[in-house]
Amino acid sequence: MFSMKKTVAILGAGAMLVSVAACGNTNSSDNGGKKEISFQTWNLKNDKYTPYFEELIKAYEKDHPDVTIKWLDAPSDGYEDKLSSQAASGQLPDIVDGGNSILYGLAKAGALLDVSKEAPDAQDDYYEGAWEAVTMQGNGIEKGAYGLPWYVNDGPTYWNTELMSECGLDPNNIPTTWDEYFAAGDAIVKNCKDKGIYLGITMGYNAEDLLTAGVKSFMNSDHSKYTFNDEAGVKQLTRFVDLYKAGGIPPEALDSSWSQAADLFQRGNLVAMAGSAYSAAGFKQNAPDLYDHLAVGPRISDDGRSASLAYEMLGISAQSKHPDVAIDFARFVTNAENQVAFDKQASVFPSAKGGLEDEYFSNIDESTLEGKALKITLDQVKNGYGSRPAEFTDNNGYKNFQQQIALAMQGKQTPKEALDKSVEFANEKLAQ
Amino acid sequence: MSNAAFAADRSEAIKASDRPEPMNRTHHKKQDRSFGTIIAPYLFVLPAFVIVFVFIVLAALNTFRLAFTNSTLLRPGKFVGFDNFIKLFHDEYFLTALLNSTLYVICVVPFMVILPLILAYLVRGNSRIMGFFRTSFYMPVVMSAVVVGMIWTNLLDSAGLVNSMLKAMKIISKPIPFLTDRWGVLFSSMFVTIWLGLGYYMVIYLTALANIDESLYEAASLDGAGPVRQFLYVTMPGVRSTMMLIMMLSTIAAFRVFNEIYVLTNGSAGPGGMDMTMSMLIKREGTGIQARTGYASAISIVVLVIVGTMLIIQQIVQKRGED
Repeated sequence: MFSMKKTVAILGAGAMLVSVAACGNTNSSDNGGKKEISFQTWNLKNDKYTPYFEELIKAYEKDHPDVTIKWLDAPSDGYEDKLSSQAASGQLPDIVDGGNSILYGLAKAGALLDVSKEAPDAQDDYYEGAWEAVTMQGNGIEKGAYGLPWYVNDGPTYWNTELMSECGLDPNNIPTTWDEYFAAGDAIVKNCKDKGIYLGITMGYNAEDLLTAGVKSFMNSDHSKYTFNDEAGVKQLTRFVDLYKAGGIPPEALDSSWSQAADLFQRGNLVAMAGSAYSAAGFKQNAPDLYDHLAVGPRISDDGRSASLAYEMLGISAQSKHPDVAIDFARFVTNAENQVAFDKQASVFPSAKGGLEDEYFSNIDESTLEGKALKITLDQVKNGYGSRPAEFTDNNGYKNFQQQIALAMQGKQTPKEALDKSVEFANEKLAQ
Repeated sequence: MSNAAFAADRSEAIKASDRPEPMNRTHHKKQDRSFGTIIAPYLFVLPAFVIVFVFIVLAALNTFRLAFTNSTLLRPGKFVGFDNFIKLFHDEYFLTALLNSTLYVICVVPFMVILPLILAYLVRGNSRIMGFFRTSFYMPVVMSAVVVGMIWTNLLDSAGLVNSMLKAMKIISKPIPFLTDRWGVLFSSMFVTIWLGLGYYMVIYLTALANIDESLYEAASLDGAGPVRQFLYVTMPGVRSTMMLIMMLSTIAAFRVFNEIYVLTNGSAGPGGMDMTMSMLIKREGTGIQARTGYASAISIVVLVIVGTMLIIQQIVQKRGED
């Protein structure tokens, strides 16, 4: 007879080994004759969106009785790491939700299907810009669409009208071009320098600020080199560096994130901030006093187009046992009707053709700040584009780009050196 | 008993023990028990062994293997010899990280060894007020990194409490760039590290202080030694081995610093990435979908070698001191 201690030891060891061996299998399988597809989103399983997804899955399963959809949702913190470990262990869900840089990494590793090969007609369902966003090529990736476009996000520039008046700016004349923007910066430096009020911290986290100022292209056509260090790029960065040195941009801009910018804006330190369409609702809740003094304008641009469109996409795992079903369900999720239903709740925009013509988008109530923000963003989405190529990920260029700009602002190098070094670094990473 | 008689007696005893016992049921039971007794300790150790083997030994061996490949997280890569190590010494971020981590050790370790000892010396004793101080000093140890980050970012921000107070007192006219300047961030992080570590090392010193014989203090007092001389000539020699232990622990921790700089800079490694440390660099290179696991492993090996060398030097110095 084994003693209690020995029994516990054996059971403990056994349980541990079983649990290690049983570490979650998340990809497709056949469940009782049904095809089971796993669909992974991030940060969408909550009171606001769960009913939408449950209804969506129910509707699909009703039309496809032989298919079961297993909806997984991962927290936003560490989502990329989770996808990495899932892909590395061969456990990538059949359908994964992600931005272009995430899907690019997976595509480069051969973990995603080229949808343009598997479903050549899918391209016709989406707006051209959206399809371009999912199309990847170069550096080991065969040209193709490594996902289906889902929702699109962008936003207006929010302006604090109280601070505008205090610093000698006309709140009824919101800057829209870079010349107007830097003129506003000069006025703020002149009138508000010692009050802890700054124009904004736009440059340093928005690579698109180069393209809307005349930089011809971020990369060359075959995606083998970066090209944003041209004359227009250097000129634009020089203007930001000069504004920083004059005191129109706060020191926090040197290593700030978007959330820090929002904090500074809400604290009344910034006159302007680039936000998303749904930032207005956030200001209403978190900073009601500020909300009463807000105005919205388009993203600053010399050509009237926004370059800050961010596309969310659904990638299909190359290891899916049922790729046809996975693609079919992903197309169902991203069709115009279902996208618009989701967009209404999330204040985002559809990438499927016909979506932007929906009645919901043509009847926006512009009497509120939220409505104005939505309308401006809608116009931007219609003719804007996403400037940051999928290759320009945080670790493969973007963070370095920000760091080089910070060094230029501190006077440790010239704007040209900053952009040249940034291009050199990113090109090196491309080759790896 | 003479030696010869004793030897004979022992020999007899051994012979007697060699004799086989008659076969009976008790013998079987004994054999069963001895089998159980043999296997039980292994079973108890097995879970821990599996965990250590899989997550430490195998992981470490794999790191060594990866360091000589150009693998990424999703691609196994090829053997590239010492390429990763050669690249390292041409990588500006690596050189910056090496400098920052080394400075961290040089600046933080002396404070980590001395300050907690002084603190422990001051708060030893059983009174309630001392208990209150001990608890207060230990408090930061139990705080999460996020909370620590929020506290210190709010305090050291250009519009934070510290700058506002200094401005209000007319000591400064412009905010001190605690979080917006390379050296400001580095020294602020060092301060936070010391603040965090004080309580932890203080507790270790308190245990060591409790082992010093009170009579030594009495003797020193009789010899006319005041509190300072008692601290220098009784306390410090009494906790010498603990000091060495803390020096080793804090050296390892300081060279691998991550949390403090990460939370103070929101993960950006400071303006221009100039506050990068070795651990932050490993994280940057070794995580994410396009993680360069080969390169990150090479950095890990360098960290291991440097920390190992530091510890060996400390051991040699300690031994020479003892001799």
